[in-house]
Amino acid sequence: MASTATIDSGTSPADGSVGDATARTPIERLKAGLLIFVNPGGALKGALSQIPVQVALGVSGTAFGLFFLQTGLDLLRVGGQTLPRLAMTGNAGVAGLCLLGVLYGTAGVALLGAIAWVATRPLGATVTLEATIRAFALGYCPALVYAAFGIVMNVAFGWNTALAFGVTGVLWALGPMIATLREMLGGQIWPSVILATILGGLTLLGWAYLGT
Amino acid sequence: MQGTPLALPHWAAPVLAFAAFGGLVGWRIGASPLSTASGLVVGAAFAFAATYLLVGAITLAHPGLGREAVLEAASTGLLLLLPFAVLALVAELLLGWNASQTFSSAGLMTACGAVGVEVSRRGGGTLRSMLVPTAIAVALAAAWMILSTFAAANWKW
Repeated sequence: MASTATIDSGTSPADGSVGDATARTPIERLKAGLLIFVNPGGALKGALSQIPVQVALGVSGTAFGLFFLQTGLDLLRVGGQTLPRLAMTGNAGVAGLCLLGVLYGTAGVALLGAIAWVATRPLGATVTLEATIRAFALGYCPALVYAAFGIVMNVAFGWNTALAFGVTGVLWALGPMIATLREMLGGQIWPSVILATILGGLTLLGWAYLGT
Repeated sequence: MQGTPLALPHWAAPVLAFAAFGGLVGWRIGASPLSTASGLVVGAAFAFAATYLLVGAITLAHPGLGREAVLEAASTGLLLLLPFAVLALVAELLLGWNASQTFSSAGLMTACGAVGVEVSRRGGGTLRSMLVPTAIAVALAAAWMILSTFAAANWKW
């Protein structure tokens, strides 16, 4: 199936994709990585499909780790009334929340990819589980950039940034997620949008349950 | 639309999404049926106008592409607003967050970016296809933020 070929082998069809499977130098790889912002589906089919799944999960894990760290710092700043447990444990609580974020961004995102993989099988997708998880994890590249900016603002200026930067970053992952699902489903837009809504909802509800 | 069982008019998804965003703003202002309905109508009208602005700007930037191709690209790309609207409803009504602005801004940027990708796939140049929708998205996000902040400060129901 076309979708398997494009995601797994990194071939670049003439559909406006901008990924470059032949990117070899660090600059070319950086450029291919940055292109995920403007054309997530296309970039996932190119050089980024060569990235090991562990590295890809490192991206989403770091993004969620920083996101949860901001949540902890915000709650610590606001005071113990919001989350007494965190106030009691102080900095250790914040660090614990950060680690929970890393776990959420790795195991959680892998689970999300697995759910998507299972859900798309009956709809005709033949992409491998590994490729699906890698694509989902790399979709958090924009979230990582947002989270990095957010933590700088949080620490340097004392702003509460979890909602403004963290949630925005996580929402930005919806675009790559839909693009990935569309590639897996051979261009079907409605199933992709519906699945991304459900998976995005699960992500938000998970954060709301664990992070607050 | 490619592989789409249900093809909506190009303005339908943004109108639905912004009716939800506007309804949430109105609900935050007054928590009454009247304020919610007013927000819903204003949001829908904003989205309707915004869609034509986006389509017009892309058509102007790509004179060789044809209006039909631009409309097709817009109707596909702007579908991406729907997940953001649903998640905004979940966040506000289920989780109690006051964050519909975050969802509308991120949704606009993502959906307009997707329109750019669709235009690029239909033969527009990569850079120009991305720049015009992104610029429009930034302007629309700012306009919606100003409009809803003004409404929150001045509407009394």
